[in-house]
Amino acid sequence: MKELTKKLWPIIRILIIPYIILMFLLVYRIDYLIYAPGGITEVESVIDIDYEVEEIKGSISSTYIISFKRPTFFQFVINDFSKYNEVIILPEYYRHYTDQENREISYLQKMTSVDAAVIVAYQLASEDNDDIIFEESATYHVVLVTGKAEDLSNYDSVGLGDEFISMIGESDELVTDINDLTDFMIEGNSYTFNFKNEEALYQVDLTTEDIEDRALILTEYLLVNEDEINPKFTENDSNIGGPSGGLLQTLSIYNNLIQEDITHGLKIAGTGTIRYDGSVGYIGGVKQKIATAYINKVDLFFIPAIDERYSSHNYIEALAACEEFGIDPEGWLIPVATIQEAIDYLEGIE
Amino acid sequence: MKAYFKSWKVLNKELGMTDLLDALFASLFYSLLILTPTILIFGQIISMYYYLLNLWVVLIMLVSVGISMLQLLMWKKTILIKKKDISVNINQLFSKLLITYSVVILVVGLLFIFVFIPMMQI
Repeated sequence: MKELTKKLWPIIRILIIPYIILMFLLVYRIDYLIYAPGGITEVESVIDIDYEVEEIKGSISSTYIISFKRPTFFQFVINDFSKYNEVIILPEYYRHYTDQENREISYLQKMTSVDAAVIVAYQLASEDNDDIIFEESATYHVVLVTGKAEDLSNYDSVGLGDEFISMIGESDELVTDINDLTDFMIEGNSYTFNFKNEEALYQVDLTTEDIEDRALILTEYLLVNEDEINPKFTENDSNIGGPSGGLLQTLSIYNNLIQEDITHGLKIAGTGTIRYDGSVGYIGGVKQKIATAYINKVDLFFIPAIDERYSSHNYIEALAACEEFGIDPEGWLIPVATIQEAIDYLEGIE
Repeated sequence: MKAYFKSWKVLNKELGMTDLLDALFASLFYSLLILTPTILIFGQIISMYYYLLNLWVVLIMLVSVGISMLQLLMWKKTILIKKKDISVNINQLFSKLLITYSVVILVVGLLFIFVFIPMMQI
């Protein structure tokens, strides 16, 4: 060791400071968010439906991008060399989340998105196919913790994705409806909340301000009771999270539940969340998703149609991205406001 | 193959196990100093340019062979500093080792390109 160090010492002396600077650039993280193109995932490989249909000639894929919360200086610099990547300042409400919490949020969004896709697809398919059994009892309501602000009291005691059960209100009432919580609270007081995680029920004391200021974000979801539906489905493990695959997941599940193949042999991709009423919701990272679809040579791409409730529109962003990458959007970029519009479009293809 | 292992035995006898291992660990230590930022650089480039993954795997294979070469060179240099008059043909000995390293790197790289990456893209 000594001999080699002695021999290399002149080089080490010159390189030691650049080496430390390089390592700093490679490990120090800054408060930005980078979006980069990812890939496409065939929904069938993630959600397996136990039902025999005629051969599906094409494919339906969701599009994922890679989002980097708090990249290193090095990533920030090399990001500039790509025409596909985009960098924004990390939103304030995201900054305090650890990587693990970000993963939990992403997994939660995907899990609830798949259930929404199953609900919508089974309901639609049951109208056309008598084999599909999907009754209202096949779903149940849950209220899940989907976000926590940095100033939430007892921050570490509440887990992301845990189920809210009830709150013991001012006069010891058991409040289960999240819309009624503040009606049973007095400013400045703290109350016992009952939550449930995978292991057990637990209690946490939270203040009125936590709820009024939305320091604890609770969201209502409909989940699927798998025992009550026919045919059964299996969700395979995948390291891709987020809710933006909802539209394409719904489309693929629907295609696996009806006899006619709506893909017509096409490589179909797209993006957009799915709501329980079948409407399509907005997503982020449109430019990178268009780039991903372009790189993966998909035949058509579904995008949420213009929704006047928002100020900036996915479809407009997608058109701009198409222009930038030299893609002809005619017949390739298809705006849809509901899952039914996507199905109608595919059924209309000759 | 027999001759190859015999050469290692002769080298071990001439230099001693302690010095041989000291030279190996010295070369591994300095190789790790190069390898650490290399891994970080590639990891971060891949994350930003994921759609060029196959290209990065090929580059990683080339860089891995380069670092292996450097490690073996440093190992050889340290051995020669420790004992100049070695009867074994050390160049030949290390060239064979480099070929073995390169074949392993090539096989692992090809496995990634043709098996693991397509499997990951579900």
